[in-house]
Amino acid sequence: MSALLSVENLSKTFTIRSGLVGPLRTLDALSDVSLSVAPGETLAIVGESGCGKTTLGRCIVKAMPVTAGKVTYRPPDHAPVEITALDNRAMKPWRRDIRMIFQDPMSSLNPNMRVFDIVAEPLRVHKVARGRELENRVADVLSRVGISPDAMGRYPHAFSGGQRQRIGIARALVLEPKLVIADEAVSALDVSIQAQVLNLLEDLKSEFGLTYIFVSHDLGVVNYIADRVVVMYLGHVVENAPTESLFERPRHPYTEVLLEALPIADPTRRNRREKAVRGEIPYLGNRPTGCPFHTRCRHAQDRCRSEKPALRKVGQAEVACHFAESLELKGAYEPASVTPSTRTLA
Amino acid sequence: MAVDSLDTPVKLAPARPVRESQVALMWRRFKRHRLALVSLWIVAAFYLVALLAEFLAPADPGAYSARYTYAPPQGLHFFARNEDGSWHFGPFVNGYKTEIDPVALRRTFVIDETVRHPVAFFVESEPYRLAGIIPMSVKLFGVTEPRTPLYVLGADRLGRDLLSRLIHGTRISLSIGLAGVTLSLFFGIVIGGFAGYYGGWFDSAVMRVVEFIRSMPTIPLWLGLAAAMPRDWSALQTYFAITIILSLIGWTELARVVRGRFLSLRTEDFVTAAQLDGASTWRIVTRHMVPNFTSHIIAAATLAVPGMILAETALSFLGLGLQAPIVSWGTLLQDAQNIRTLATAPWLLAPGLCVIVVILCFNFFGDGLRDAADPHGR
Repeated sequence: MSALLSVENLSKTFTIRSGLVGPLRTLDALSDVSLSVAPGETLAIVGESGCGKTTLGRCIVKAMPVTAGKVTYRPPDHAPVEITALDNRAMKPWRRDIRMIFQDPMSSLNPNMRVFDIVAEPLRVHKVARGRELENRVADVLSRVGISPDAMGRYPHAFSGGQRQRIGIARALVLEPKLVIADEAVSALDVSIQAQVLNLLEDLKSEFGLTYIFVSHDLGVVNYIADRVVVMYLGHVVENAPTESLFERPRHPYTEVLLEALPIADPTRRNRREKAVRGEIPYLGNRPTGCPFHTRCRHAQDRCRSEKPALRKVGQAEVACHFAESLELKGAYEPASVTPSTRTLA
Repeated sequence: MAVDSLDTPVKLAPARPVRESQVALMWRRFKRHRLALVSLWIVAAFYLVALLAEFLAPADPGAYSARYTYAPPQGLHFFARNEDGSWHFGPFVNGYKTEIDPVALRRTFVIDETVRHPVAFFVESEPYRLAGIIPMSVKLFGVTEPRTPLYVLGADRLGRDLLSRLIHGTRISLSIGLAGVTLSLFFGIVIGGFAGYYGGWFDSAVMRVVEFIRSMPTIPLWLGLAAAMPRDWSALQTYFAITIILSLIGWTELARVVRGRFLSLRTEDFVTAAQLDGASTWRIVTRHMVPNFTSHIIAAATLAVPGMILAETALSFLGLGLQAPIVSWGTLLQDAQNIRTLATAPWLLAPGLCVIVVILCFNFFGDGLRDAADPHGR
């Protein structure tokens, strides 16, 4: 399988200085991240706030420079391109293929530009179309995302959150990209609107032949849309598995914890939450040695504190845990017989 | 999770066509601010006076008459009661008569109410050029009889008409405010813009310089700079030199405003989106960022104008700014520097009144603009 995009040993370190002359400190937002997306696949990246998933997305689209590692894009009709090595000018043609959808529909649309200009901007920047053709393309992509082209002359403030997100999607798709990075694309929306937008993304995927990298913290959404899931913790990939197998049989204790946090629409089963994760997520600038998760892991042993586990193949998954084979971890789809509600019914 | 509304067009509010631009929204909010609206009209009226100075001023600001030294204000009357009880209509000014103070044996002018010089509107005058461009020979008003005194607001030490001088001074004082702000705006936007867009060490350096400049006491600094100006410079050169001196301080505040806006906009997603579109830095700054804070800039600039006007007045009052024969509110106030003059000719304080009114109005107007410029939907 040749990947459409692959990320190899990507690291991103932020340098911060406290005060004017304070000491320089470093924050490793991403360390040694590797993953790849196959054409037509929807890859989800999940994790808590601050785990580096947004940074990863932004490094892939080259919104910020990387510290080490490389991102390679393999266009169908062109030799592989190492995006991380390109300067801004050389990157420009590839920006048509790799597009981004933003989280916040309020701040991602310029309040001073009409919807038409917002969506037409990529076409203008890349000199793809002009005049009537430009208008037609914008109207076309807007109607595909469910915005009436009659509303093109309005400003973003005249639209609801869901509509604005559709406009953001139209902007991403107007250049007919190959790969779309959706950074928490539905997190800021109401649940009912989330469903609409997710369905829209699904439809557009088959219509345009898209590949998605879907950054999210919402496992419900991920379960619905993703083919494969990458779980991140403190800038590390801890598990990378097909969605089904990840939800059924997580291999990393952190994945189990995330799955436990999924809300359950059954009041009689709420007590299951007692095993919620201990402690707080450590500060990135003060990362634990050994396995990054050992400070909060229920199964941590001495080896975890000293030796950092590498990502290795276990079953269908890639896991970074010393005890991936031996641990009995609970998934989100439990056998019905063990739940208390069914027991009382029986 | 099937959603059926997907392919139907999204419903839009039918009320009024919501194609309102930022400017229209801002104007609508501004109009609600009564005081600001009134102030806007007053400021506009002052600028109109500045523009039409030659037409509005009944006399040449330099025309002197030794006979009418410190003549008191005549006022402009439109009707009066005659001695026989009948009414006189039509604009006129009273004449003057001289009285000798029996104690000080000083000659003083008093208004002679028995003499009425008729005043007409749109009277013929010496040919002049309006704003130095349009040739005209009509004044808004003037006396019809030749060689009659017309001192609506009184005269100064040389018998020059205060009203005419005030009107011409308005032009200089208000334009120096605008020119100074324009210049500061230029420095402020360029320097503040670079600092805010690129951040980092350049930003820190610029901000330290700004803090340094702002921590200096302004009056001594102006005094020093103004004193360094050669005495033999022409009126125009002095005018521009003063403008530059004023804006050397003035740009700091505007640079801060611009930098702040750039810093806050830089992290907005729509700016990232433009970067990811592949847009050039120039395009991002001019097309995506600057339109988002032009209203703030205008508001900040408006609030900076009164400071400039005050500074010019202060400098000229101290004799370090503009020099005679240039007429500005500051140079006019120079005549009112000693108590004795003030006691005998209090009307010479009129330019001070103008300064107060204009500064207040500019501040209210700027406040209203600033409130109205708050962006919507964020």
